[in-house]
Amino acid sequence: MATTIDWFGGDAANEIVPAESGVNDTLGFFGANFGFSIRVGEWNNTSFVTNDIGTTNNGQVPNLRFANTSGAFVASELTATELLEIDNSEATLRIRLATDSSVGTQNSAFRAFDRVNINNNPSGVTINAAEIIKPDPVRGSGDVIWTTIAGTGALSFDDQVAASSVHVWYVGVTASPQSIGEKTDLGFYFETEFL
Amino acid sequence: MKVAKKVTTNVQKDRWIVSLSNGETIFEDQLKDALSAWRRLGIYVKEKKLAITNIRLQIGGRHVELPSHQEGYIMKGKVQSTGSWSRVSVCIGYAQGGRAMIHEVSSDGASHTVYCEDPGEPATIYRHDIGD
Repeated sequence: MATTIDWFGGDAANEIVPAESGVNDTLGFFGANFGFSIRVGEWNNTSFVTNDIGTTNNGQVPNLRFANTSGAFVASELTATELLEIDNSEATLRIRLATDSSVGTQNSAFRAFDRVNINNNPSGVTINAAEIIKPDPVRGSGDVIWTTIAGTGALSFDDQVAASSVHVWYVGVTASPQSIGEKTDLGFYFETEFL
Repeated sequence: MKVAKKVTTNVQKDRWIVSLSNGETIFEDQLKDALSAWRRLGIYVKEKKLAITNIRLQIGGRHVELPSHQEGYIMKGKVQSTGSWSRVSVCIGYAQGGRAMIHEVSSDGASHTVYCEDPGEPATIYRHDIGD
């Protein structure tokens, strides 16, 4: 079965392309703009596709900034939005699975790790994530609260049992440094089973 | 339910091959926008009151064969990805008494075995030749 998976920003404008292309390869979090740092204990103001050391701007993705346990500041908004009210296109990531046959998915999960071993925690940074499910104006049905993710703590996604040749997951991701300095021991990992 | 009883253009080199209790051999095929071959096989086995007696997987030039005449046989796909890196694996296994042994095999040669709870239908196809 031909199977492909791709990662884009939630608005589908910029892709985290496979490493073999030699360019974009991860998601980076910054302060006011690309290359700006985030103060210790605060959360990202911008999110970009970048290389693994955060030195190349390969395009912006929608930004969600942690506001409280059940809310986020969307883009540059100053008023927090409930996670359930965030649109799919406002999510940080859109992960898409495409298969030849129509399949359902189960046991889908997302975690942050140190880019060495998926079971290791990222170093020096707190990562919160939430599944966003709000494809139209009605109130969403994704996660109500943020989950802190790491190598040892994954965010589980809802099963997508209806058979389809395309499955998409929207993920909100927000980051906060625990100490001064660049945090490059950070990557993201997604897995799913399909049948 | 349509299943492939011979090798056609829809049957790839990487595939599972199943022997059924009525003597038929079924090949994994790929039908655009149809249910996966395993799901179609599960329906077929239930409709015809059959059992899988043997299964083998051909992937990346390797062969995986499971013990015959088990209570249930398991098949599912698995994708792992970091965005820049991805791996697609085939999970093949069998179930007995609520437990399962599953081999995860990828086309790049990586493989490992997990022991877990029987994942149940539709991943597991149980025998239907001895009454439901």
